[in-house]
Amino acid sequence: MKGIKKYGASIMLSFLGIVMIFPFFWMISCAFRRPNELLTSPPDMLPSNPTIQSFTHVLFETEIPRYFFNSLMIAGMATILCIFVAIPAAYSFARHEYRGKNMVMIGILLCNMVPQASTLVPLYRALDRLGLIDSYVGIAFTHLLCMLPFSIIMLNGFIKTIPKTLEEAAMIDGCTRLQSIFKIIVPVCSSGIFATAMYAFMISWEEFMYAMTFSTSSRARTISIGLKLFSTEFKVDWSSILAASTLMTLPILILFFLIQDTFIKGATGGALKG
Amino acid sequence: MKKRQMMSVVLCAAMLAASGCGNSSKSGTGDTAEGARAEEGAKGEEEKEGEAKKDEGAASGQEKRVVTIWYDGTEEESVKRLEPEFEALHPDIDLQFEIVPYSDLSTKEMVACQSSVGPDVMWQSYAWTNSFAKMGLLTSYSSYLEQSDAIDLENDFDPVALELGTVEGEIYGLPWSMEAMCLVYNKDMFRDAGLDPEAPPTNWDELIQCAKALTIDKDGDGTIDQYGYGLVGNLTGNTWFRFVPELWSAGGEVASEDLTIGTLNSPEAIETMTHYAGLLTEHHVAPEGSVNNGAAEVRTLFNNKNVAMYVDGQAAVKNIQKDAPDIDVGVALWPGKNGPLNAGLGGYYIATPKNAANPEDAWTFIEYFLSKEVQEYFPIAFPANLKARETDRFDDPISQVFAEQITHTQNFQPLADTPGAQQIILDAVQSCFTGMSTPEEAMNEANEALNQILQ
Amino acid sequence: MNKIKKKKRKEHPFFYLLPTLVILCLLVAYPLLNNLINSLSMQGMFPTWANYQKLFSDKYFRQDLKNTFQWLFYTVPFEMLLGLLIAILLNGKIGMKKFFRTIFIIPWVIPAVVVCIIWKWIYNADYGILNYILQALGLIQKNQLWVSDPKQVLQCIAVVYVWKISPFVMIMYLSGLQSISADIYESARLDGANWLQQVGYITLPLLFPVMRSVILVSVIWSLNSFVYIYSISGGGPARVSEIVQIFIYKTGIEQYNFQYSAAAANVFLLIVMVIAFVYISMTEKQDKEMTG
Repeated sequence: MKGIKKYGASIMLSFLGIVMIFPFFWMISCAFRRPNELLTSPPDMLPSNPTIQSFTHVLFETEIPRYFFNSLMIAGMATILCIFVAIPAAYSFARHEYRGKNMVMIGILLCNMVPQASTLVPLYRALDRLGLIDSYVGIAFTHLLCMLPFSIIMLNGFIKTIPKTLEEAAMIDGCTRLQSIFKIIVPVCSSGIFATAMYAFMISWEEFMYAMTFSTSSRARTISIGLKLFSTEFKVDWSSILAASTLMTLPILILFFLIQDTFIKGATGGALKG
Repeated sequence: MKKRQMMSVVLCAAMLAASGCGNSSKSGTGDTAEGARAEEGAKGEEEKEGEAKKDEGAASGQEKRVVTIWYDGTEEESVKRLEPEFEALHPDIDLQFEIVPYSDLSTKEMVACQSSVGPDVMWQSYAWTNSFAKMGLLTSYSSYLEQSDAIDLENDFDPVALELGTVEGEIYGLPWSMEAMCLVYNKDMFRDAGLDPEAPPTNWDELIQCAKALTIDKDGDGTIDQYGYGLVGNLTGNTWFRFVPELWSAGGEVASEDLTIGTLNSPEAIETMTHYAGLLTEHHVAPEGSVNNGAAEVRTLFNNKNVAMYVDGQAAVKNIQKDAPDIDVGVALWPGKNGPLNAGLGGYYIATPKNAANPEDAWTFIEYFLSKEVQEYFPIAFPANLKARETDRFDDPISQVFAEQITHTQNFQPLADTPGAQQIILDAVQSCFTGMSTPEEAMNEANEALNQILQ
Repeated sequence: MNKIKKKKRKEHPFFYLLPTLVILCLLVAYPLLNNLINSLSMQGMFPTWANYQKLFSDKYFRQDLKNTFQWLFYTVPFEMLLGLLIAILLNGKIGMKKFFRTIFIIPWVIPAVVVCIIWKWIYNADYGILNYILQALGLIQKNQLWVSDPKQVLQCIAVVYVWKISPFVMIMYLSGLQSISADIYESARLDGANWLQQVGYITLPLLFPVMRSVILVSVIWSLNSFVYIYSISGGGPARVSEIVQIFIYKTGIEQYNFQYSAAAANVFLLIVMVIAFVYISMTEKQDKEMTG
């Protein structure tokens, strides 16, 4: 019985996995083709005569590596700031009781819904006055608008799964509330915080409109703009786009593969009693 | 951690102060340009100082004035040549070219024009300049032109190209590139289908016959492997540029001459739609998924030998020759209802925002940029400066056809809300392609919508 | 005992919220106000409702509102189910866990713009790989139109969206499951509970706070998801797959009609606010019961 269950789970996961991975496979497969071999009829699963010309083009003849670094810096800065600001806020929503709490939460949530179109001009002016146009800080700061509400809501959920008794015990031992957040909540929630940070990072990584509007040179241009620069009015360089995105996704995937154990320990490693 | 929080609080306070300042100068909604100009003086100086610092490393030792230019990257190669040449002539001016993706160029320009800081010179597609100028966002070149010896508008420039850059007698956009689309076809496919590759179709009937012969199920499995004609049915601008010239060739127009009443429900317009959508729904010579194909998708299909003919511009053909060297590309005048039609004139203007920090030096650059010497090598398509067309750059047979098509062009009507009209045309085309409505229903509905935005 | 401690260390909750509120206010307060003024002022000094009146008689806006809720229905429940299923499977005792986890995280790392490009070509009605595979497997006889068919375009794009977002749901549940001790399952097993009962009586209730947050974020993201529809179908054919966010973008950014777009944005904000309020209030009580 146990054996069948284990077997069944693996089969289901494999099937789902193939479906999930196929578009990724297709992206890589197309990145190895020449621009005039993308859409053969009938289609080829694998490139008939693979070439790495798009990869060398992207790596050595464009500024994509530079944009990749810019994106890393911007998303990294934004994520760190975001998590540090979001943890106390999420904690407060999880533990404090006061009237109007829901409305505050909804207010924060709605910041995520303000159409970017209407924020562009005011933010552009403000950043310009501060001399933050075309800088990492300026772009990272605007990204907080989409990242913060998300992070607060998610962290709030994770903190709520922790029994209050844990912190109370710590506070009896003489911790202040703020100390208890960083000594108890953060370590216990580490996998939740990591998961939230991962997605917050991705929000900044993928964001296009702010990064495009508030950068004016390759100094702060991010990878999502770099991808768009492969299409001009009379040419869309599909193979370079796909090659560039293959190049940018692989390091992140490898990194995730290597560090996941630190954060996701599996059911048996669960630290808490419910 | 506390430090970080402090930092963020300080940063926030600064932001608040800054956006507050922004507010005060922008009291209502429409007065952005004035507010911006009021701030100009102080702002400009600060900026120059900043830029001067940046260039301290330059050996010249003297302060360089910066001219910022936003462009879409298509002409990157030519820019690499232009920049040093200009700076050698004007050592006190530093040109800074900034690439913006084409699809977002107009958005970014719109944001910059409404703020106090932006480029000094920007590339603009013909249709944008008209809207920007009507919104009062651009600097008029008229006074500069009066004093200029270098630019002789009346004699040097193609008058058709000047039309859309002029609003109420003032000149806001100066054309530097002119483009007309032609029929692009694959000569090998013509040969394989037993057609004469040197006798491409010249009117609608021939086009349909030709396309039918070129639509082939190669392996006999019931699905078509090669389509005769690549229809564009997605993206507002792409569809507009391909549908409206067909409408002109049938004798129709988008709106009445005074631009107050839509004429999309005319028999000519319905006939045009019947032809355009009919290529897909009646004759089945265009890909079934045409409703998702913008120009870029159709071009990719052509590169991959999946369609035999389609309509595109000069720069695109150059890219095809590079990306798909195995295709024997032919180019012909765009077939209209009864013969070659008038293509819609496309191309680029150069324009300066109203709040530009450095309009004087920008003008120095523009004079140089529009000169015969630069225009001879700069635009991928034809230069609007007629003197610069007489080079051997356009001697190959393909360019010759494009050169002929340039003489068969006309301007789109300067509607107040061109993007809105483009959306209406796209909706009509898409609802016909998918069979949601007949050409007659679609055009009647389109005309109603058009009348609403024309008011 | 606890009460004494709490009283002693009473702090104002806003101390914790201050950085967040300051940052967000700076970023949105002015745009929001500006939006409101923009949407009202039409005739000189006097505010009018003209934009709002026009909006409610705009058949596309009404259709887009309907589409937005359809879109919500096509996306959120499916990403929840798929994400939860994968998370529970991955949390069990299976081989190659690391490998599987990495596989399921893949859609997360591909940028949305590229996701749309890939799927657009996969869905291509004439030369797409999807038609080819399904025909080779014998699942369809004739090429399907997929995103070119007005009847299924929204569903097709929803598949892309679910594919891209379900790793989020999965990773969040997986993290939430970390805090559930294995002891509880052990004692449940000793009591004779089967797998389904364990999921129903232990996993789901203990995950409730996380689930509440995940659903809230998913709804907000889904209402906000603009890129997927815009890049794949552009809201077409003939605007049948257009959602409100695309309406706002098109009227504002593409057609420079900022005032009309601001009015649409405000109406939409109000609607979302109501939904969020109802959702948060409804789940609050349950949340308190479950987390005690």
